[in-house]
Amino acid sequence: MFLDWLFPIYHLPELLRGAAVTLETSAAAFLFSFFLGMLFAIVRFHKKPLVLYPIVTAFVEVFRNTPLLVQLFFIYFGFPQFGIMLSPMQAGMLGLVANSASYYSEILRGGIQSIPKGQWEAADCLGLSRPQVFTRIICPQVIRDTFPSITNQMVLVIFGTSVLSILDVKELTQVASILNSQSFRSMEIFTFVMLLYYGVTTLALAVCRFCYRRWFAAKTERR
Amino acid sequence: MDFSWLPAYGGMFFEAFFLTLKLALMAIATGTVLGVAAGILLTSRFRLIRGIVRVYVELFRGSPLLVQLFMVYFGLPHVGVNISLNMTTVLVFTLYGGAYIAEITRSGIEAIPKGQWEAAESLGLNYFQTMGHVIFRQTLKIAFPSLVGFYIGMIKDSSLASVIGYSELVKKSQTIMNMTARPFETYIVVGLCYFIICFPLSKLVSYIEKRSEAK
Repeated sequence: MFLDWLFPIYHLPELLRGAAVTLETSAAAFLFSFFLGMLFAIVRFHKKPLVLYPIVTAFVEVFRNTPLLVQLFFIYFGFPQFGIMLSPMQAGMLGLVANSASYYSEILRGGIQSIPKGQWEAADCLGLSRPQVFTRIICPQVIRDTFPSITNQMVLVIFGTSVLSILDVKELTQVASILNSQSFRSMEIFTFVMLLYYGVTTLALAVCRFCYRRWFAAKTERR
Repeated sequence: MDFSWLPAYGGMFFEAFFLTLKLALMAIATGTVLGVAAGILLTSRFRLIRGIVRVYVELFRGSPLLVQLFMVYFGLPHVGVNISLNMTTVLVFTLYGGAYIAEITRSGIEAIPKGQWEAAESLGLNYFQTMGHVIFRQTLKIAFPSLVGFYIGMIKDSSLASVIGYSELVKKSQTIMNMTARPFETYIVVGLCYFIICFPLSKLVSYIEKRSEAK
């Protein structure tokens, strides 16, 4: 028994292609789920519109309290029963976005709730319209205050993409599994992939920290 | 939608539900023990100890559970260590949970004001007495909501064990699905099983958080 730690290096192009798919999927899932989560949070915060509120609440609770894997299986295997055929990537994206949007809605709702009521009233007095108050006054503060949770959830989205490998999306974990079944160099491949994920998340977190400093550092000093 | 098959398979679901609970509880128990120990070591005065534990925590918090499962499941036999599937699963979940719980414990310990350490020292308590009698019980109170929050995550993550063939709810449901050819309804029932454990727990977490905020 010998370990060939160079093996993953020989297959670096494949692994990096997988990593690129992981990054793209994560980025898309993050953006979609963040915006959807924001919409959910607004509905949940205002408890309006009356029809949507219970639906959104139920959606969020269901997706927060069941495993991502079950949600993906439900979409990928369950939907065709009603004639909705989705490709692995589509099903995976749908599940991941719905899952992560539910988490974001809770994070952002907490953020919106912690903004003092006076700010809404003050902005109202200045003659800003409701959407303006939200996008100019409330939203930036919410993002600033909940920034650590937002980045945390972003990392979970990156890890979540690894579950898409079970639906045969050719992202990093799936590429590694395929390589593994071709070569049985399991220890080397998966250790390497683990480090690759670590690198990707560290990079993503560094970008987030940079953005935070760029956007909010001056404003937090004032507090 | 057609749930008429459910009564016939109810027993199987029930059994599978308990297998998932068993795995989750085992993982939570061992993960907590490892995590608390690692978390205490993370606040150690000795740099070397902190460094070693830090590498473990970063590595397991910095990679997906699925990759960790694959690494141990395929990797250990590859280097000549043969352990059973049950052992593999529990081992991975312990390492994974331990890493997260270590961080929760560490931040809990660090949230305790330094003055408490100094006060305990001036009372003549040694490190272990201080940790045991003074610091840790307060840490537990601070860390409790995040800990339960993570336990909910562990219960849901236990579904990933099905990928390496560990027989729990998701794995069993695949068998059921193959017999009934009703994936949509099957996964609704599976989701419901997770929901009835996780939903009350997450309500508990938000209740505790709200109460501590109000104080």
